[in-house]
Amino acid sequence: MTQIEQEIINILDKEEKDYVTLNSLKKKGSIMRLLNLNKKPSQSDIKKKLQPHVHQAIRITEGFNQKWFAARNISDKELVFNSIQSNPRSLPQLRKNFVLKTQRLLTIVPEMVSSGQLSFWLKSDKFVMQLTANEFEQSKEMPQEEESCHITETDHQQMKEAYDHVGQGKSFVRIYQLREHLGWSRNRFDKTIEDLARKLMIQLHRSDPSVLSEEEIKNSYNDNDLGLCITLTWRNVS
Amino acid sequence: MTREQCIELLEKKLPFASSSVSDPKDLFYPDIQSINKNVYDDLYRLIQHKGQNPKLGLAALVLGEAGDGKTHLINRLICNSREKNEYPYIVAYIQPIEDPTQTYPYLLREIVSNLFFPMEKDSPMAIMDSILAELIKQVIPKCSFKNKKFQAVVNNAIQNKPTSIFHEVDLSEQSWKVIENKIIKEFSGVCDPVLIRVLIQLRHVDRRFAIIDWLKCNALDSEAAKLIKVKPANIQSHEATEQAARDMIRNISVLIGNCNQSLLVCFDRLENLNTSDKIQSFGKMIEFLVDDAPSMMPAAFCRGDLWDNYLQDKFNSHVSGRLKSNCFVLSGCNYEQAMELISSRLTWAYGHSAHNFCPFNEDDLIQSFHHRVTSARNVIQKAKELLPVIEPQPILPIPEQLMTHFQKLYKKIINEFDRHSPERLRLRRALLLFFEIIDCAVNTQTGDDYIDFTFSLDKPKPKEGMVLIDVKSHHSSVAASLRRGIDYLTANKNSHVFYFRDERCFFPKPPKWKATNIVLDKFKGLGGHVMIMDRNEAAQCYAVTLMNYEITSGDVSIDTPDFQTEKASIEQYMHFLHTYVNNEPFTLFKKMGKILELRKKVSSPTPPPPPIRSGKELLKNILDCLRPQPMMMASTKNILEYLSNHDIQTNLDEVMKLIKRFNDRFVIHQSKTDPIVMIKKEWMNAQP
Repeated sequence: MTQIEQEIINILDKEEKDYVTLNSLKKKGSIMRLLNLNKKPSQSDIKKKLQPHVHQAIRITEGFNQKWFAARNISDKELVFNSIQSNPRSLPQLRKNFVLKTQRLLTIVPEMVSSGQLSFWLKSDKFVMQLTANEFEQSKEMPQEEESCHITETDHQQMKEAYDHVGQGKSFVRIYQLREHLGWSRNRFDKTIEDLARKLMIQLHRSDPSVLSEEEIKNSYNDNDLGLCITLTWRNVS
Repeated sequence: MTREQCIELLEKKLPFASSSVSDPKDLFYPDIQSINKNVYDDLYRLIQHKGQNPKLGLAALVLGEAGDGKTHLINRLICNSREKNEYPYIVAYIQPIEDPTQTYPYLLREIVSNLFFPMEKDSPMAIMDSILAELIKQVIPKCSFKNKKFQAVVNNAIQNKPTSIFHEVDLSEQSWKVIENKIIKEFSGVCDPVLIRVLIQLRHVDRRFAIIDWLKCNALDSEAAKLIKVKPANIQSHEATEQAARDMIRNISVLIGNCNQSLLVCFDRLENLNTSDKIQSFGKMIEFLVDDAPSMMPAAFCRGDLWDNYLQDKFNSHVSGRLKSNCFVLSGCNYEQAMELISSRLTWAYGHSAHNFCPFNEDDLIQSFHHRVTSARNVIQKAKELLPVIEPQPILPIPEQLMTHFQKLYKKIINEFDRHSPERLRLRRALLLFFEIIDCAVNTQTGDDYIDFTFSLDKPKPKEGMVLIDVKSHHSSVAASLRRGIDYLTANKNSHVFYFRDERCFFPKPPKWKATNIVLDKFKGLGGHVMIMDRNEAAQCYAVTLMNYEITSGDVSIDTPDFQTEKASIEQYMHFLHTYVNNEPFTLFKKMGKILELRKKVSSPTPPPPPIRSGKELLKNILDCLRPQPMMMASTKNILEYLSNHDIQTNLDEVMKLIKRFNDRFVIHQSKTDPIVMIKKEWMNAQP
């Protein structure tokens, strides 16, 4: 764990949270010093500086309303579960200022409900469906998901969206930019790339790493056969 | 054939030797048409569209990473252009520009060189002959010869085989004059009549060199001018030369269009556009071809990452927009294509297709290529790795491998020397590489068109000098160049001035060129070195430059000691040149080294290998440093920091030596800043 990761974990432990917004880190002098940031850094400045230092305990994610977060490196479902467990609330309430994008919530919450990790309750005084966590299910489901990191169709879709967004019409998109944009755990990102390549949906390219910085290379992808890959192209498979 | 016999045969025939194509005009291995078929079909449709609408400004861009088959695709286009097509086309292959101040003259020279390639292997007829024959074919029915019977014979011959008009039909000079006038009349107002008058002389073999020189807008000497009946040209200003080149391209374009053909102008290896001036120069060529040269269509072939993330932003929107409007992305091979590729190479080696993939293990092939999209080059490399061997051959040191590649290229250039007309800028690049490997400081910003560069050398003795490369055939240009040398030698006693000239460039002995020969004698008298390059020496230079282009494009592969294949780097290329500079076939470099009194570098005694224990300890610590890192990689700076924090006294040199020694375990990647060291996958968990 890097020193910065340790500092963020300390903050999260103290505040009993799983995530904080990157903007809130501005007030944390120790972190700003470690990131060598002063004055008033923007959210993207913090993200850029923080990215190279978070590999194991912390991940960076894009959440509600284009806000960026530093979160514990646990699965998305675990983030949802922990949040609902500490504060049961409706889905519209959950999405506000949440660490994950609404689209992602709309995918995983139904999955968690159908697997019994979450339940909907109709509050008697209002016509609102409230989410609650079923504690006993957590231990069964969560660690398993994190270990095997099961890649779903949704991950593919999100990767494609990131490819289109980052690439802006380009064919050869740099992998480190996708990784930074998605802010997933390293495991999830790498597994998604591996899965997409195996399903012939993308082609990985070694390209020329000498045009990248050390951190950009580190945030690229290491393929079993090809070695270091810098870019990928999405294939038009009919 | 037994399995062992198959292996033995494959070891001799080397069907998986190297999949890089140094020249798209070579077709050594069979082409697999299904690979990138969609891109080929789309490009062909675009050529058709251009053929139907010559005035339509079209351009194409083909993107693919190294090994995806860009040069192979050009090769396919060239091969298929020779077939009977509904919309026939010609392909010109343009090497990257060296001197951005020569944009249009360079483009013209490259186009003309391509038009004078043989139509078929060993054929005396060039593409330009077929264009001319086609023009003659169109006017022959309108020509009236005195002998009507003869007219019918001529008409019949040219309709069956247009180029037969040059050698198989005995036309009188008077008949040729009739044809010439008819063509001039046909093209009145759209094409310079002098161009037709010159081209019609192509049937005279002894005039071809002068004709080619004239077409390239080179200033012709009075004798050469007299030979092809044009006015001797004076040396022109830079602007006038550029304009003349543009006019000539336009005129050639008109002729090609009137033969109902299109010229696909392929720009390959854009990785070599390494300065903004060269990029702008390339942009100007595209713009000109699209807007001003009907019947010519530029197509750029570029690495995807380079284009998408760097080059496209460097052009004005007009250029990038034109190229991007027809952008095609090459794709790797799926399982079926990979198997087809391997099968075709085996068929090529065995001479029959009933090989059943012998001697490969089918499971290995399935595992390697199933569920993968792999570039064609990677398929070949992987097949090479999977090929069983009777007795493993030792991997040659990298300089030796590069020497093998160089020798092939060099021999090829020698064998087809006429296809490599004297090209000053390619000679310059080769000579600059020579001066670079002998640690010589050079200055190319001389501000004088005649001076290629100046140099200064510190060791073994301080020396300075100048290099003049001259391929002009006009006496005043030659004299002007030599005078630069005389002035320099007069002002700088004991300096060295080299005057290089391809021996094919016209330079008659006295009594011809009397004044110029006097200047030459004066140059020699002052100690100037006249280096008239023979066929071998010029071919060495062209091979050095062309291999430099290939290396920059990632098209040269080498085998590493752990039986992997990787792209050769420019540093490895420079090391190869440095190693062999005093050996065969580099006779020109050897000659220059002798003049400059370069002694063979006394190599320092090999340092004793580090004690095994400390090496092992250092290795273990490097692995410990890398393993917790993402992707198990770190910069050399971070490794040194880690080692220092763990009280291990060492330095960058020692660390790099160790990493290079254990190159079966580590990969070094160059980054924008420090080199990055990465553990190879198979060593991620193993102990040193």
